[in-house]
Amino acid sequence: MADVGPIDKLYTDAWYRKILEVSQRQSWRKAEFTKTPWKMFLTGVPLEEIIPFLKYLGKGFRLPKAEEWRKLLEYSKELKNLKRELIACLEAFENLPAPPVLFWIEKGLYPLVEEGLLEMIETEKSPSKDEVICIGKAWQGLWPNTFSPESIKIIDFVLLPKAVGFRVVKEV
Amino acid sequence: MSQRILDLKVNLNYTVPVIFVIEAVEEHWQKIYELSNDIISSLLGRVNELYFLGNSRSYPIVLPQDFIEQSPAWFNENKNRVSLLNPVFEEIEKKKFKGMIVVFCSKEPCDLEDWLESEILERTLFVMLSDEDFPLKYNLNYVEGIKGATYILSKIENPPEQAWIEAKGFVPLCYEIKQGGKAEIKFQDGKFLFSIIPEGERLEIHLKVISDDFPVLYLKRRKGQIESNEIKEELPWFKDPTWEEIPEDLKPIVEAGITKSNYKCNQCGEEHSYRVLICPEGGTVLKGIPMNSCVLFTKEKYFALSEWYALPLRHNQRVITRDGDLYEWRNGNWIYLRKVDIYEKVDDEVWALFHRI
Repeated sequence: MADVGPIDKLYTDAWYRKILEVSQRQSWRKAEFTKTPWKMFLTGVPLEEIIPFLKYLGKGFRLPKAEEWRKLLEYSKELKNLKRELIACLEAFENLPAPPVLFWIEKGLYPLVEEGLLEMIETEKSPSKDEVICIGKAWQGLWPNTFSPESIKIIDFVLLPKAVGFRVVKEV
Repeated sequence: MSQRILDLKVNLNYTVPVIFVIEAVEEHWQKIYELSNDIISSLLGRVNELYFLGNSRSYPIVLPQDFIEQSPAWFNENKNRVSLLNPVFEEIEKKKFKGMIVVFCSKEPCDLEDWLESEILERTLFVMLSDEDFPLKYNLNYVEGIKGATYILSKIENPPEQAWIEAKGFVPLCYEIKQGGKAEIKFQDGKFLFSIIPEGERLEIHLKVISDDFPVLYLKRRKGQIESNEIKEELPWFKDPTWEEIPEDLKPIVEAGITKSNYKCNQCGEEHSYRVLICPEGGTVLKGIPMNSCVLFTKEKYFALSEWYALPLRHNQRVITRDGDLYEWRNGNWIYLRKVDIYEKVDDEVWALFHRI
């Protein structure tokens, strides 16, 4: 929200500090990308607070649908094999992604679908209050689990906000 | 190797520019406004930009009036933004800003950890607006806002401690410091260093040098990394060395020096060795020729290096200083050869004499 600033009570300093109480921030300059990778991500933001952000990003930006996310999982093995080409491609751009992203690509962990966060998805189902519909598999260190990444889960957001994040897709 | 002679002008402002960064929090705005206003008025022309935490947009301050009139509207645009240093510091780094940064805040910026141990943080002063003791957990420059503008101003200053000019193959030939300190020339590790002890607010020097690379002016301040500053070329500021005619009565003495023979003293009438520069019965034998610095002779003329630090010889492959020290350019370094001997031949048809009375 760099150019417009806070929207009412959303995205203010007080709002962000409340989120940080759940999703502790760690500087990427000091973070251990493989040991506690979840500290690199913003988690614990309720869906209703993500939607204005997606609108701010512009037309076509939204959360992924389950079948799109599963496609990414399907292609992730190929992406891992293409890591050299991917890095070469990214290096051609002036603005490289943040160092953690490059690190994960180099380590063959990108796009963080086999293990990562529980990710909110766009769905027609409406979850009950305090619940969110997610896909993916949380890092074991973040929350021990036996989830299979591709299955849809209904998560109690009040109990487990720090494991719930989101990924943005853009329709083209 | 392309040793060339350059005429240079150094023009540097010792005072540092300042950028303000403000946490747009309503509760403390009045205090920030008052402090900023006082500081901007005191540092006339040095606070040219203002940022708000969390926003990479720069708000220009051309005149103190800009802050007084426009900052309330700028504040409203940014009210309650997340306190992030990243958007501001990244922008400042892009601009290669080397001055001081003053951050007015009531809480620790959320991403302060990202900048710990960074060079930019060494030049950042946090003005704390609340009783929270956040900066104390890190080793930061900070001051409590309650101490007032005068105290904050004393913390903003970042005085220069040392300046120096260097480059590959660099030798200062002559210089004039118009203002800004005293110079000292050092020779170490095959390099000449033109060192300046800063004084006042501006540094202004005219220089004639020999150099392989274009020289750079380095500046070390009390805080932050060493700054490198460009030096500009200028039209020759110094006249070419003026060789004076040797007075007729001294020519036999100089000739004896050149041929390493005796001469008849024009004071006592006795014969002296060419090495005798002061007659036992009189004074200096080369009357009228300055003798406290190195003097170069041809058979007809002389040149005293009193106003020059050094003079190039042998197509700039050698230099001789006013103290009679000879240096030679070998394998990318200046090598000290020796103190010049009496009437030592130093170039084609040029002899040198150094005698301190």
